[in-house]
Amino acid sequence: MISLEELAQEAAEGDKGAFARIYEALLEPLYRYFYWNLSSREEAEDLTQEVFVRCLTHLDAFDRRKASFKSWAFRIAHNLLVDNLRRGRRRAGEEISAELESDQPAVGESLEEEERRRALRECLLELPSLQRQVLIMKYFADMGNEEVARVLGKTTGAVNALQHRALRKLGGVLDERGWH
Amino acid sequence: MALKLFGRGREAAELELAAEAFLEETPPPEIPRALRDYGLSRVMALASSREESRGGKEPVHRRPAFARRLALILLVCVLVLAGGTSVTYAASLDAMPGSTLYGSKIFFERALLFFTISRTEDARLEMSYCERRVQELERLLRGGEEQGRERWLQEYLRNLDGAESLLDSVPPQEAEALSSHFLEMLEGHSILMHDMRRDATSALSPILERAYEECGACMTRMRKRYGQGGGDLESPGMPGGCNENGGAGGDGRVSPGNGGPSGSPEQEELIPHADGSSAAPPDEHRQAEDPYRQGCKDACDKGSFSWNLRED
Repeated sequence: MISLEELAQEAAEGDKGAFARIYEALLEPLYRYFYWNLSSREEAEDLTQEVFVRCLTHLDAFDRRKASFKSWAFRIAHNLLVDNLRRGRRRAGEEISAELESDQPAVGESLEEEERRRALRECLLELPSLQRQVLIMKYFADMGNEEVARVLGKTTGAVNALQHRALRKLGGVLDERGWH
Repeated sequence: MALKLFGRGREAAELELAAEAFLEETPPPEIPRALRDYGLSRVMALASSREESRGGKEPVHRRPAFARRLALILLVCVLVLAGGTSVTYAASLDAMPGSTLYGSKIFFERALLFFTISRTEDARLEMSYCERRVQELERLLRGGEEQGRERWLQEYLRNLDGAESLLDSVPPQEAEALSSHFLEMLEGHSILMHDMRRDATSALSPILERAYEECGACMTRMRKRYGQGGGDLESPGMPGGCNENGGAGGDGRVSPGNGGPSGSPEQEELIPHADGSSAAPPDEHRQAEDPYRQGCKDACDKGSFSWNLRED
């Protein structure tokens, strides 16, 4: 099986098929990353697309000796998310809850599942940003401690500590909301 | 207390487990169809349009052609600068006071002094520059030129002063030989200037007088400082002193300053020094034999300074 790094090299040489395979491999983790971090599906969709556009236009800047392709793509995603959150900080918290309320389930999703997801998103949004990032990357983007550490610019030990703290806090919030 | 802590730890672990279970049981969201089906083609289209717009607006300094041109221009600049400097240096070697290139000549002399790391070499260089100044003075007189005389005097005095002050900072074992040579050189200058005073034009005369006085004053100071007869210049025959006939000083050193071994009135014509003492005219043969002096002179003539003028 060809690694993402090899595919990236082929894509950089102009192979569109290679980039299509990268897209296929990273679409789900990237979309989930934005989905759990943001209050709106549309925003998550736009940002996912933007990450791929940036990956494609900056493929020549990718250096496989420095990081894996997935870490590199997530670093772009993380930067985009930080920019987005900085812009969105001006919006009131009520507005974000309203967005979550109005977020319609996608076709084929049951109401119960959607309810559970909405609850988790609300709880996650109560966590500090870094703790939330760690949980989302580890549980929804299938990333290891090392990859997460590289994206966030932390050590693996720090990521581990952040994960424990985040889980404890999330457990508390879920408990308060009666989800246990 | 321990039970309490244990209870808290257990509670935290339970919370972590519960949260982990919730995260794992929550079904992931469906990928929107727009992204799944058309996303890739949209990404491709957006990327190519951005590439196009970026290509048009690429900053000039990032273009390879610009870098090549810049490198070429820099190379040409370096070559022109290096070539120009060499040509100016070569042309300025024979420059006389008052000429356009005289400033460059002085500049190169100072630059050479700046890049010399040893004080001894600095002192030797300053002495060689003093010699060079006197050669310039001779040429000025011979050509009957008067332009640039003020500048000449200024530079001569600066070189004298520089050499004298540098002698204070050279190591003692070298200071003796250097000061002896400097004194010898000054006496040569003094004799030459004494002769020149007779032929000097009215415009050059005050400059020459001043240089002669300064040369004499410098000689006196050197003698006093380094004990070569300076302590008792007026007393003939005293140790280290200079007698009226230019006889050998008490220290027995071979130098015109203390008369030298051939300072007898029967043998040579005596020439009064600017500092009041008298000495025999410089012995050409003796000067030629002195490798130290010869080294300085060669450096002067070539316009460069050798680092090994003297085997110490």
